[in-house]
Amino acid sequence: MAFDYSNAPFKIPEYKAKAHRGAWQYMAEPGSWWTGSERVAIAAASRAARDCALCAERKAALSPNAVSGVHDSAGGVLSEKVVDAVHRITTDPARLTRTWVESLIDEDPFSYGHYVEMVSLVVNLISIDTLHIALGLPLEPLPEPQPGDPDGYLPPGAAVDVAWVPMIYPENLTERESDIYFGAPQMGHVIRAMSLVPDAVRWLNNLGEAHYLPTPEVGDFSKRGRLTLSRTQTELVAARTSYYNDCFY
Amino acid sequence: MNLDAIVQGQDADSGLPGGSELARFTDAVLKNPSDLEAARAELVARLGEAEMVDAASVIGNFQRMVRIADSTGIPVDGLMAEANADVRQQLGLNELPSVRLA
Repeated sequence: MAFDYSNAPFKIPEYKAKAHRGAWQYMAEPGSWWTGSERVAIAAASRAARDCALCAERKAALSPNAVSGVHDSAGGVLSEKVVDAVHRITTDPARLTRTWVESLIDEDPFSYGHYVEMVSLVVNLISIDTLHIALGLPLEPLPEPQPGDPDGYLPPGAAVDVAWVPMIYPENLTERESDIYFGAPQMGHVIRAMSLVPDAVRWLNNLGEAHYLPTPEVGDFSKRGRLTLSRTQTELVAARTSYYNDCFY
Repeated sequence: MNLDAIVQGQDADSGLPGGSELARFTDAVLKNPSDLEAARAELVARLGEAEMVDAASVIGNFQRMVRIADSTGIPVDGLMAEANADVRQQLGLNELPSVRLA
């Protein structure tokens, strides 16, 4: 069984383990734009990025575009372009630009749907791996890819507005993705950011609830979900983490 | 909470119980792995094991959220940008290369 924490040196609540197992299943299955094999390969590339010499050199450079080369990565079924994108998102996200994202989109095919789903897989992996690293636990082996084809679902209400990628406002949800904002009339950009791929929002919400707060409680500072830390302690850790990542958000 | 603790870490008094230990643990996870074991033990001693596990979870969560924000180009939500303008100024967030205000 994946994420068996029974022998961990610290007690890890079952709800966290259950969310991690669900995220692994999500990763292994075909999505809207990538097959299961491609999705697991994206996760493998993200893990490889942490020790990638090219990424380290780029991170130290004044501009990441000033350094060219080949990434240290078992890209497998992925193109070099996808491996490069995964590595950049993993290791140097604060210096990504709209121009760079637009340069990825082509008839390969590599659509905004591919991009958003790729980001979703990378960030879910990083969230769980970071928890393991923080607790001194080994990283969970990646799951076996499941067969099947992507469904190619493109939410009809998605449109480019304030971000680099198409997103959905709550009033433009259709029945198929009507659950992703919990019926709220407004939703923060950081949740809407993944809405071109509704399952990505579902897993953003699921892991967020296990690691931080249920999405509907985030804006209410009297809430702390299942966390044992106070909300203020929680926000200190969150803000310090964002600071280290040079994140404006 | 003293917001300087966000930027200065354990060098600033956050005013929170265990604030210094939380900052040290966060720093160890993200930037100083050689201190991780000691920082973890200190946090457990100060706040407890469940709190340390939750702090690790929150760090993991925000390693995720910052990448979503940075890779999709979302701006700070309008009302939030207005409400926290002073905080952003104090912490120097408007100087970050990734800054995007709606």
